Amino acid sequence: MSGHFTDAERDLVARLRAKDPEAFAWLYDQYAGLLFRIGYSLLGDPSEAEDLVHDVFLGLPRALMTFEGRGSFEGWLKRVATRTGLMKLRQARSRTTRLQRWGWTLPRFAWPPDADPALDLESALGALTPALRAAFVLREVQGYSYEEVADLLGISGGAARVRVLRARRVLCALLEGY
Amino acid sequence: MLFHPTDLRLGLFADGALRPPAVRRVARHLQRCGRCRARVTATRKLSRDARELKIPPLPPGLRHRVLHGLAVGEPVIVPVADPPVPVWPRRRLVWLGIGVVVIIGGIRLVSDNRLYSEASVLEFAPARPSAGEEITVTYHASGQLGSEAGLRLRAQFRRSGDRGERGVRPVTTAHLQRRADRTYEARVRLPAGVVYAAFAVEDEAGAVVDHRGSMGWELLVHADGRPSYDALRQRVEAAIGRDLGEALEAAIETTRLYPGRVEAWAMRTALESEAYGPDAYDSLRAVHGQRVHAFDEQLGQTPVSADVIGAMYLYANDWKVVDVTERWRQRALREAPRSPIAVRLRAVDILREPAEHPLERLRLLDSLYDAVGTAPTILSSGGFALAYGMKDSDASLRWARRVIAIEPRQRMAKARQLLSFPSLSDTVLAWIDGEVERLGAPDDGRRPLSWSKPRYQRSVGSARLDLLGLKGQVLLGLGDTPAALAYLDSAVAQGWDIARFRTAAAARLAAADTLGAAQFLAKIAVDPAAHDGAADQSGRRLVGPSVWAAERERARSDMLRETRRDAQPRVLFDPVRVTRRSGDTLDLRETLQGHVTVVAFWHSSCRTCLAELQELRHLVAGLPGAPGLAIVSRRPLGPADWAMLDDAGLAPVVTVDGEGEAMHAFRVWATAGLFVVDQRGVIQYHDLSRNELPRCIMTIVPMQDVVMGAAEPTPGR
Repeated sequence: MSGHFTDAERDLVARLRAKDPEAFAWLYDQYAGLLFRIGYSLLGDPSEAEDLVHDVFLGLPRALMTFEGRGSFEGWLKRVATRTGLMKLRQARSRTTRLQRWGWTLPRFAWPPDADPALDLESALGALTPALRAAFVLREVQGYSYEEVADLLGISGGAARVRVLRARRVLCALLEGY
Repeated sequence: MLFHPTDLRLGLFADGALRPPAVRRVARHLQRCGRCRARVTATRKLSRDARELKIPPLPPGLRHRVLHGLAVGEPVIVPVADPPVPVWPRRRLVWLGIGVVVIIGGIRLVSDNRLYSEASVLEFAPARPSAGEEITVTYHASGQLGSEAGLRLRAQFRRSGDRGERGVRPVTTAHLQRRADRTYEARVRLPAGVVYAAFAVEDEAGAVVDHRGSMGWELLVHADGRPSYDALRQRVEAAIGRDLGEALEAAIETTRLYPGRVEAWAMRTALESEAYGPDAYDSLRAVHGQRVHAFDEQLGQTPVSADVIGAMYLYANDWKVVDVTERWRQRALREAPRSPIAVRLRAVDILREPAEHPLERLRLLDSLYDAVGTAPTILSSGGFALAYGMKDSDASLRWARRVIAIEPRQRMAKARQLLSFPSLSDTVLAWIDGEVERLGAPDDGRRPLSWSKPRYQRSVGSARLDLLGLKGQVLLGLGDTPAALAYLDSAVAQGWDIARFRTAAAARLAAADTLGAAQFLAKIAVDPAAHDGAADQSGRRLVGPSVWAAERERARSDMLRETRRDAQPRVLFDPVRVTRRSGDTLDLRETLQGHVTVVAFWHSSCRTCLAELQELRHLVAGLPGAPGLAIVSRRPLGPADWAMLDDAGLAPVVTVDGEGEAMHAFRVWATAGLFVVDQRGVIQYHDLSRNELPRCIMTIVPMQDVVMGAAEPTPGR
């Protein structure tokens, strides 16, 4: 998913580095929807996704200092948004107490807290643990390869495959018609 | 292929990620196996549907918020670097081995009747009591409690069949009397049926609690010279709520002492899969798969209890022994149709029936519930989801009540969902009122064993404020603006919660109260973690620059006052030995003297956390007064680990907690937040999120340093 750094992107990045307001406005119009999609699919909450778009754009001036143009700008931007989403997921998880993390019963004996076996995929994604949700969304919604999923999550390729499998298993159990 | 391919292999086949020889074998199998074919089809359908996931439209005000934030240069740091991939993917297996060693140590600890908490000790005599026996409890107090004339002994008793924390509440079981030798003593008789107890000691006011770092002192009922099976089982149940690693150790101990109990193996399996993760699956499966068959052969033709049937089904299912799983599934449905596992299976079967007959599915779930009464969570939550999806208010309320009957803590979560039915507004308001009233007079009997009374009261108070805010939102939706504003005002009267402030600001704006709205916008604007430049701009526009400046100043003062309420100063009395990269040992307390420091704990197997620590370093460097950063590694570090830390620029601030003294001193047992230590070396704030960090720092740095800037990192501090 890396692609090439095109001449048009090179011009755009130069303008962004120069903090050209029009370039940022153009970038927002082109990519805000995509970033919002990434945020929403990872975090499952429109306001969290909104915050993600906000944070990514406001973090761009500093983040662009590290952009080396070894792949496409769009691919890089998506990865920054994905990492920001994962960071937010982890922050949310670390806020929950151990009590909430492990529940008060063995994980498989109980439905996850607040998770309802809902009737559509969007709701069912909410029943996944953050780790499984992240793996599933990266692979199935965003289309990353297992190796890229592993890179983004900081786990091995095998672990990424198994997490996606476990997520699919939960979703198939929750959803009708699977 | 004689056997069904594993789910993993089928998933990779569906993805097109299998190698050609394996593809041919799976394809041949699929030609004659409808079950596996269905799985592949389901996986592909799921992938298709995921790619078409419905996404809400972009919020209309976001463009302005983003471009304005860029214009004013709001500082936000986003992660840009890929976390390094683990050098050795099989590292978890090594941990598995290390775990065994740790477990052996743990077993020795449990079998010892002297258990230590900082400087304190709680002794039981006899150390291995029988059921219902009277025990002498002797407490050697730590510095914090040693001057008290008398102390309270609280206990959480567990009986066979207790699950999780449901119905298991701490009680004051004795008053410890001070003796001439400065120890404290009491006699306690284990109540009837109790097989496991965890104890904590506190002063009479409940303000200081010694709870062995949240673990409690444990006592297990013994039989035949060893802990009874039920006692061990309850030890696992108690530990699950606190720490997964501890629960797994207890489960492994249970299988060691009772290898013939399939329930113990099923329980251990569930915890192993969580603790070791998928990397260890294949290795573990080889061992467990054989045991599944052995149990199947041993128990297959024997009358057994419903618990054993359920455990056999779960154990076989976890290790994908398909034929055994199916056999025990049928047996559960046939021989124990009202058991939790059978009801769970029946509920899932109903929920997975074709979607075109929702009414029929709901009727079947109702019948099942009527037949079994109090049921596994999956039945009630499944019924609620179905009813809610059908937008059937009566059925939703009925199933919500059933969910709450099993899980009372779900009451407010369900209340929020039921708010989408206008016809249920009165019911929801009554629920909220009832809950607000209950929380208004906190029941100390619900206080967790390791919590002090002030902590419990703070927690209850915060929950009560949430409910007042919720009620305000409901009333706002019903058009009763004056009442809504009154409740929202109550909700924001104490504490510091940006989400509540946003709701209150919106409500004030809806009521055309611009000054009121500005007051809440000011609270949002002054919190550095809110990153909300739009609040600043809107507030200034609403009330003009001079009033806005005054509101900001007042909001800042409020923020510092509310944040200081969360401070829990704790002095590190004892040395905290850690080691540097060179191997030199030092007292961590010395490095914390003289400047404010943020302390973070790191487990080096978490590579992703390393990226987070780099972000933390930048965040801390930009905080008021540029505090120091100390990172404590929870395990020894090898050359590769140090090389990584060098690359990340973090090595100078990392020390190693080889003896676990820092974890003990900071009371860190699992995932920990951040700690703030003041200039005197006193821990002021515990277990913080990154959002809480800036305002907590602002309360303790000298005023002249409270200028938010973007200073460069100071890793050497």
